[in-house]
Amino acid sequence: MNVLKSYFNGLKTAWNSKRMTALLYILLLIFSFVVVIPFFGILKKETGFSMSVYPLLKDFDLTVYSDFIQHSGKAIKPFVSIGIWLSVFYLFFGVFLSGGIIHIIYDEENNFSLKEFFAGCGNYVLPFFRLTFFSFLVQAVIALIIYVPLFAYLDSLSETAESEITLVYTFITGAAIHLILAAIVMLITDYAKIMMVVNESRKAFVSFWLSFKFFLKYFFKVIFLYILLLVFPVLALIAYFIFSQHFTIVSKSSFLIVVTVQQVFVLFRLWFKIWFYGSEISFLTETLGIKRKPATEEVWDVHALEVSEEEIEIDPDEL
Amino acid sequence: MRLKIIFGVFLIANFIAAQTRPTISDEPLSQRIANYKMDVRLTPETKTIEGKEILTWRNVSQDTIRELRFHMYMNAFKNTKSTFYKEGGHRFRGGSNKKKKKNEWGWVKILSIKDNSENNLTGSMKYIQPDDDNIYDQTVLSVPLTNPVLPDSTIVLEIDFQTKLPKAVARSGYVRDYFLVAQWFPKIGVYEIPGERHATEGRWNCHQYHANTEFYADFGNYDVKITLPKEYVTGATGIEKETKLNTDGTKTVNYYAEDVVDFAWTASKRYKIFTDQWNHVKIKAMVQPEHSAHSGRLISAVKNALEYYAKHVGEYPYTTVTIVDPPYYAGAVGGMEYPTFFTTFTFWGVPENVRFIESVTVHEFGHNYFMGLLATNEFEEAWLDEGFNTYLEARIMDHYYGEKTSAIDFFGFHAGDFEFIRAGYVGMNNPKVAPTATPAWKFPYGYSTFTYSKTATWMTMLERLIGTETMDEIMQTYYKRWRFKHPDGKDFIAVVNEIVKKKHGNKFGENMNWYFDQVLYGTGVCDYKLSWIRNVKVKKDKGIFDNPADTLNNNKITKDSTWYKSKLYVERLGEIQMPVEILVHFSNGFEKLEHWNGKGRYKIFEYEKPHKIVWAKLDPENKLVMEINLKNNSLNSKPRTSVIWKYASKVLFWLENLMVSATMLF
Repeated sequence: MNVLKSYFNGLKTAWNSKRMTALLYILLLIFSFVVVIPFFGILKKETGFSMSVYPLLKDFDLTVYSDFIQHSGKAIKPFVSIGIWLSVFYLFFGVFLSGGIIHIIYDEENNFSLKEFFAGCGNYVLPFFRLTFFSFLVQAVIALIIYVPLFAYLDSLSETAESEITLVYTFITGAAIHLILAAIVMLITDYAKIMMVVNESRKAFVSFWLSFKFFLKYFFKVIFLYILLLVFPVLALIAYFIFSQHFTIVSKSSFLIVVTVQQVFVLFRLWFKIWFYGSEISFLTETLGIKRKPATEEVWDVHALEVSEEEIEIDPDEL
Repeated sequence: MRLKIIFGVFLIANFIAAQTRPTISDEPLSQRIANYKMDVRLTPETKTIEGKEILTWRNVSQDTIRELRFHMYMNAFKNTKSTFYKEGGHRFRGGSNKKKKKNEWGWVKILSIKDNSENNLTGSMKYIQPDDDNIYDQTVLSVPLTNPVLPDSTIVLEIDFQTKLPKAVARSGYVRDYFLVAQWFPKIGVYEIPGERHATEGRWNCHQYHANTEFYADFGNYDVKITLPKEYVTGATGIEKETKLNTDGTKTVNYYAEDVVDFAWTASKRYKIFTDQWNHVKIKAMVQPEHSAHSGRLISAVKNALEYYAKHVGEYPYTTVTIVDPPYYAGAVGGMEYPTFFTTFTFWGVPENVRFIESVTVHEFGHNYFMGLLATNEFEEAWLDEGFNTYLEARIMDHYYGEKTSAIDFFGFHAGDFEFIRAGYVGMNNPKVAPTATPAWKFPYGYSTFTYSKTATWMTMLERLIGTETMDEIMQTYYKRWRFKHPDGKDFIAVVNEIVKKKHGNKFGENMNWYFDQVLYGTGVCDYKLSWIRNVKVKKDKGIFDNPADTLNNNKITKDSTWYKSKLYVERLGEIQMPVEILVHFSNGFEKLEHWNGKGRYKIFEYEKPHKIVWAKLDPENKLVMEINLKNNSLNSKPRTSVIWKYASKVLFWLENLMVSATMLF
């Protein structure tokens, strides 16, 4: 069964991508430090010589926390907006990076080098942005299609429903449908990116459409693979949650353990992303019988990238 | 004439019956000034109540009363020009007028009013506006009397009235076929006698219905017959005496309550009833079917409150308590208090450790004491009502559900009830805008925070200063002395002064007026600051000294022994002056608890020891809960950065996750 094979191929790819995972982690850390280092400084300045915040070491304390926010909130507030804007920026940076990731792992030999990686990033950045924009539009339309009628329905339902349970379940149903559709769009976007690399195409819309057709044709297999891929991230999340609920910082060593676990969790998330792409590439190429080829210098010949529809490896009619 | 005689006999018989009826308690607990016998009918289709009210009112003053005043509070919801709406009533749950239809407004009108001499007083009655001269406000009615009420005599009035219930607003009204009927009948105001509260001469105290306040009434007995379609399940103030099925598809339910200040009731077809017993009190929970799982929480909260009040304030004197859980669509009626009967608020699926269900229940039950039994004037001194009740609510919640977990304990986030209350006050933008002792409708803003949060905070601070035992004795004495009466602020302060003196002598001064002058009548804030610690090595004295004793320092300073002159500088930044404790910790582990009366603007503590001051903590036992800045209450000469590392690593972790999640979106 090529789903399981793809799943394990993806695992193998991720396992062989330690250097790329490390690179992604370092880049993430650098971005994070833009906020965290000044935040540390401000926190240090704001607490000064006061002992008032010490109870927060062991546990959350509303009195201490609210008092601190009351008097130092103004100094802390800018970091919240910087964090949000940084995340928005990182969203685009992530789109940029995905070109490099897919390019490297599409190469079966997985020859990672910084040059290759960033060449892949640079090559696909514009088409991937177009794809992102298109994907965003689709997501927005789906959200509108679901929530506008949903809230109108909830409004009218609230005039007649005897119990709030009806409203809660109605909303949960709508939100669940949205979540599933949004996940599907994310999945289609992933496959569209892979198809662009496979086809050496720059046509975002065509790739999205091909990906959509591929998704429909292999619906159950794609979904099964996706669910399989979600198993470990969900388990990791649960494990982290249990850990965070039961492990208290009481000393320097316990602090180091917490920080290490947190960073390992982040590292795993990046690694899972590579696993996702690895499995999806494997599934797509295995399903469509595409022979994966190593990336070569020639690929980056601008003229070589301007492929015609005839040259693409994935035949739209086949889908 | 014959008719007049028959009517007169009927009224007198009625009055006598009311006075000789078998009672709940063996003897009257209150003066029973205002007694009502009502026979009313609810028409669910038109949302109207029509009824007859026989009011027996005693003039306990030495004045001849020539005019009566009535609360006509349902008229607060008559139009947007009422004082309720002028004061921002639209902000209340159900108060919005945007979609309000004509039949969703509420009103009450007296169709006829006659005294026991059968004088028809209807023509002479008129609306008055004692608080704000808003001529459109019809919430207070003046009824001049043909026959004045002489001192120590009684008047019996027969009143025909009609009430149109509003769509639920400010905790009263209907939604669909659900009814919460409160502030619904013509209710007589309070005639205060000289010496009672702030009265220097006899006077009516009958305020208009305000956006924030609505309670002040005399004690009395209520005998109320409610006729309504038989499918409805009802609950009300007092005990249910009997239910009679009528031939027209209706039923008549008779409720009876003694020594209470108000009467409210509810009717709905969907209530599920749960009952329980706590000592002499029968607990009835009227719950929406979908909230059945919460019934145990509601009853348990009431039992906790009954137990705690009995132990720390005084025994609950009534035999019933009814908890009303409105449906989600009638949330506007949730969280309101009437004697022996209150509404709470629940929502399907609320986890057990999210305890707003309990805190609302404990709070609303507490109003049986603060306002219900200690019948203070909510309009003029809301702090005696909401503030004291909030203080007890926090004590009960923290006692039964944990000091740091009583409000919420969910997925690592936890907070205590009092913590939230205090945070409300210290988090105010301008906590100096008005004293707490401001009439409720005169606060420029922040009524709730000043009345509920600030009062509960300074009551807690008082408790921590004088001790819980003393505080309990104060509350018990206040309750014992003033229940079934109308105490005011000075009555409570007199009790505080008496008990504190008895328990502590002059430890806190001649009396505690200084405390109330600051926290209740003043606008200042409490803010003390540990400004700096200085440790300076003591050097050997050099030079020529006539007296060898002047060089004593030189003997103690050796190679192995370094001495320090240490100073600790404490400042008072706020206006409030409180006795302050400061814990000083030295490098050898020795700790000294310093005391300062907190009156000056600053205080320097000096030491000469072979050890340095390492840290100092102001108010180490956390007594000064009104402190608006805890950050400046401690100093450590060697600051620890572990908390900063912890939170920086948290921010790092969450930011990384936020960014990784963002990349997964597209």
